[in-house]
Amino acid sequence: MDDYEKLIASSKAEIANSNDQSHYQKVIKKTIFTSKWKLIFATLTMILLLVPTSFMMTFIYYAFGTSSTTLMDVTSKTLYVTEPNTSLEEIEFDMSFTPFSMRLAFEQYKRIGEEDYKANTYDLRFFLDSVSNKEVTTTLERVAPKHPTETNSWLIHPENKNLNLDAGREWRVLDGLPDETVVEAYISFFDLMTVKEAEKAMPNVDVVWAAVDTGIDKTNLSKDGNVVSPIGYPVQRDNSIWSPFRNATSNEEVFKDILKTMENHEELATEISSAKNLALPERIAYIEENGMKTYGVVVTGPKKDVLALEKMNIVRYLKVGEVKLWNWSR
Amino acid sequence: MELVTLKRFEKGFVTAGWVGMIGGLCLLLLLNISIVTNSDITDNNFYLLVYLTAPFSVIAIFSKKSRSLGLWGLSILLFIMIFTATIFILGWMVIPFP
Repeated sequence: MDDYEKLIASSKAEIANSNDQSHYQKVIKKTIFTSKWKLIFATLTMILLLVPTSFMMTFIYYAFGTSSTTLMDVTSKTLYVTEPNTSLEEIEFDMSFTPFSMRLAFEQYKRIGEEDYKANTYDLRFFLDSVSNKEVTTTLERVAPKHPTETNSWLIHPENKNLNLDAGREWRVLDGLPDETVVEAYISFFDLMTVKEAEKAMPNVDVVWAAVDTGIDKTNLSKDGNVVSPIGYPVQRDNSIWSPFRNATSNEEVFKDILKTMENHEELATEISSAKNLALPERIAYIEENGMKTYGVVVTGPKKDVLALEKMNIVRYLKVGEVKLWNWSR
Repeated sequence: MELVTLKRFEKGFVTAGWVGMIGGLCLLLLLNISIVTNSDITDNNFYLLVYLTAPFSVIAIFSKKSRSLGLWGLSILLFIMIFTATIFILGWMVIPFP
């Protein structure tokens, strides 16, 4: 018999020999009652500590692990280069956290004429460093295909011959618009050219975004046979605080840097972008070997000036994007 | 003599310990609600609970019988203080907006 058992045995004997049994019973009942409640409250405390502890761990993860700013940065850069003619506003970013996850909500704008219009509202949920849910609410009237294929891109490479394009239809649509409108149009060229050449060839409209030839745009298929979508960069100077192209001496160089950043987070960038695949390593290698040429641009300007591009011998195909009432001051 | 006086107040110490501990639990519950609903709870009720928990828990640690309850309440308060400081400091790193 060990010490503890001896103690219990002597206590039992003391209680049995005592004249006042009810006193002991009262003490035992009180002790059982107190222990029971202490156990209940201890369990409750443990349960209530779970959420704050996991919330604290979430903050530690987003501060020292994959940082929230990296996720935001990759998101912003991916959208600038994969969604033609779009920009983001810093002030519109809404970031919130729940245990092990982060929510990022923001608005995306499109330049139509001389003004920026709200195009999409993004609501991204991250579970640690991967996108767990992506909701895009669009306010656009002409939305690019939700599921990109080899043949439904709005910007078409000159060597992409496998398309049954009705080039005349879009020109007729444009022609039918009132003269008092400004238009966003997706222009595909007959030949590759530099962005400077494209800007020079179309002085009456603003070239806002250029699709870059990355070697796989001829078929819109990567080496592995996966469907890819155009990537490119904004042409105009962008001085908004949030833009990765802010104060850039060359948007081309910033574009190259962005691709390298995205390459390090390709899975995340693919989840964020509307493209099914980005195939960044082979595209970066091609650009570094062949330089940067564009096969299509997004332009915006008065309907009449965009329509005048039909007579130019460089334009192969046009797709009309958004149309707004006159806001052109030039 | 002092020991006798302390024993006389033992019930009071134990009660203070329970009040401190339950106050701490209510604070934790509020914190959970605020995290889950993503709302700010630094309102009057929160501070009222802090002011209730802290002194009662401190009183409770003076008696051997209620010490565990007092330490329990104070531990919850300490956790909440560490939590608040961590979130405040890391918030500057995690959220890049003012």
